[in-house]
Amino acid sequence: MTDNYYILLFKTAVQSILRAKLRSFLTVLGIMIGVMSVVLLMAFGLGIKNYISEQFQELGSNILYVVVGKIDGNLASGSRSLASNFRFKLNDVLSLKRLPEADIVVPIYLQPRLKIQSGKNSFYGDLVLSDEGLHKAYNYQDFVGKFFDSSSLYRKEKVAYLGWNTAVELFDNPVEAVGKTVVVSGVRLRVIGVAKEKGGGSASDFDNNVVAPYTAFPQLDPENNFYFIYLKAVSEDRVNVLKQRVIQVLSRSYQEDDFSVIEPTEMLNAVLNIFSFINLGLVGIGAISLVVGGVGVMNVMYMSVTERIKEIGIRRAIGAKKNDILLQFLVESIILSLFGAVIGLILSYIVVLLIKPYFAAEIDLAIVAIAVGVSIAIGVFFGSAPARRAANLEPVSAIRYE
Amino acid sequence: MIKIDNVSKVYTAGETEFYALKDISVTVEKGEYVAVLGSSGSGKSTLMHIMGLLDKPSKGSVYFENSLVTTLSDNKLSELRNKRIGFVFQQFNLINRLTVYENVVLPYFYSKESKFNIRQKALKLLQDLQIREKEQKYPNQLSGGQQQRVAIARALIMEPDYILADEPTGNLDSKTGKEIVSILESLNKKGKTLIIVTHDRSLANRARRKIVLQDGRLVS
Ligand SMILES: Nc1ncnc2c1ncn2[C@@H]1O[C@H](COP(=O)(O)OP(=O)(O)O)[C@@H](O)[C@H]1O
Ligand SMILES: [Mg+2]
Repeated sequence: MTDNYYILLFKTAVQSILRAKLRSFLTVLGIMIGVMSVVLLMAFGLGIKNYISEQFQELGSNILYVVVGKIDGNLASGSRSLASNFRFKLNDVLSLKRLPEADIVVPIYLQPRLKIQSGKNSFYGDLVLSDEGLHKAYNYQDFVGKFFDSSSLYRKEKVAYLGWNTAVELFDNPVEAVGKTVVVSGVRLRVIGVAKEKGGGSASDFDNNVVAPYTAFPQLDPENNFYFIYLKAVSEDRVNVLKQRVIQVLSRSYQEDDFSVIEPTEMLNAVLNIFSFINLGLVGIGAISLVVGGVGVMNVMYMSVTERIKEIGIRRAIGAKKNDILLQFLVESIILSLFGAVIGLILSYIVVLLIKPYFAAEIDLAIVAIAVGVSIAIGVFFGSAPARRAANLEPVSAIRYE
Repeated sequence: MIKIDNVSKVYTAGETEFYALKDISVTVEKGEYVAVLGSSGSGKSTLMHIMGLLDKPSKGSVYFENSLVTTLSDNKLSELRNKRIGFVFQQFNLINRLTVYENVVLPYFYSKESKFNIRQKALKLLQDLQIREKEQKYPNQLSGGQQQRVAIARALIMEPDYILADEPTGNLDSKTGKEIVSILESLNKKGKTLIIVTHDRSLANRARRKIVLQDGRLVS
């Protein structure tokens, strides 16, 4: 029973939309396409964002990286002096290992794109020289064999632990790699283990590595040439203390500009900031189609007003104020665009479900809220000119209208 | 009291001026039964629209119960039409997409009031007008006479003091027309001010007072 002004308002609006089905359908279609383009772009953005976050999360939250060169807090605006010639020394690493807040300290030396040979097979991979802690730091899972331990390091054993791709490229069957020999930079290494595949996306190409004790390559002098130190704090709440202590220790020997201590979470934020910015731009472009849909709403509302001049006159005669008429037409245009938004959301959701296995995409409550909010705003914005025209009709000319 | 003082209504089409009403002065007191008589195009509807606060004069003043109408805001005029005036039109002017019941209660919704039990009141009115069972029908499912009864119910729902009827029988056969007129006259007997606009001399003769228009001028 319509014993309520607002129910009647709603009913009247729905009726008038349904009265011109084709016209309403086309308008709804316009809004629907606009909402879909915006929602899907936001969904891709959110999906990729979450994917990046997950990748970083995998690294752990109580982690610090010490790198050469200056990275000022914000990756987005900062410029990293990649050209820095500065390198860490083994002594620095040993000093850091003495910090009580440090659980693991792993130095890393890297020679990218070196030829790795085994018999007739060869592969260009990255030579990583480190200590026994790298296994844990990089979160390697053994596919076969094992990583080298500290005694291998002390005894300067010429052993190698292969990333998945390296093993696959050099040996037809990675299982048989253990015990075989690989040659890197003229050094013969005995393979003692192969890591499981890590998959793409992570900070470095772990799968293309060949890892050896830094003591195995004295001719490269890794002990004076570490470019990266990985630290893990004893607990998450000690990360900040550890960071301060690391800066303290290194500042004793080096300039402030020589090195940076960064938290992966900070990096994550920087990456996400850049990404959000790009995504916002894309969504903005998508919003243009929403504006086009809004213009459609405006057209239809102008038609609706013109067809109902007499009705407006009747309503004014029996006491409707200008605002009552305004509200009536605004409700109609809001329902029209909201309807488009709901259908657009449902279709977007289906699209997301369908492509999720192949491409990161997600729709969350915030996206739904934005879509609904924006479509209401479209309804109000593009409906207000026709609604004002209706409200400002002279009662007498409206009621005389035939 | 509705007082029209030296009112003219002018329509201009390019150079030419057309007087739909010319220097009209009329006062309708509360409780009166007045007929506005004149041939088609004589300005009857224009006069009624001005008295009903739907239209404004080009010249002259209109008073609604001592308020000069030109000083009232659009919202105030809407409120007066809503609460103090009930309109009945020749074309019934119901909203076809609303049910009979919804048409009748619409003025109440626009009043934004909640001072009476609207459902009970609306059904009582429909009952009195003998269309109670049409409550959920749509106007185009009713005969002309029934539609005019709905329009009268709608005009009465806010308990107005003035009933303004513009050719209320113009679209009805003579028997049905007489029924509608007697309903309106019974309202006048209960104290409502009744203004009936008509070109039908015998209908106008039933009123206690006649205002006769010819080409926008007051003849008697
Ligand atoms: N908006 C308007 N513009 C021009 N002329 C109008 C307008 N409204 C009414 N008229 C003219 O004013 C005259 C009086 O109209 P009306 O009051 O409707 O007459 P009646 O109701 O007596 O038939 C008519 O000639 C009509 O054509
Ligand atoms: Mg007329």
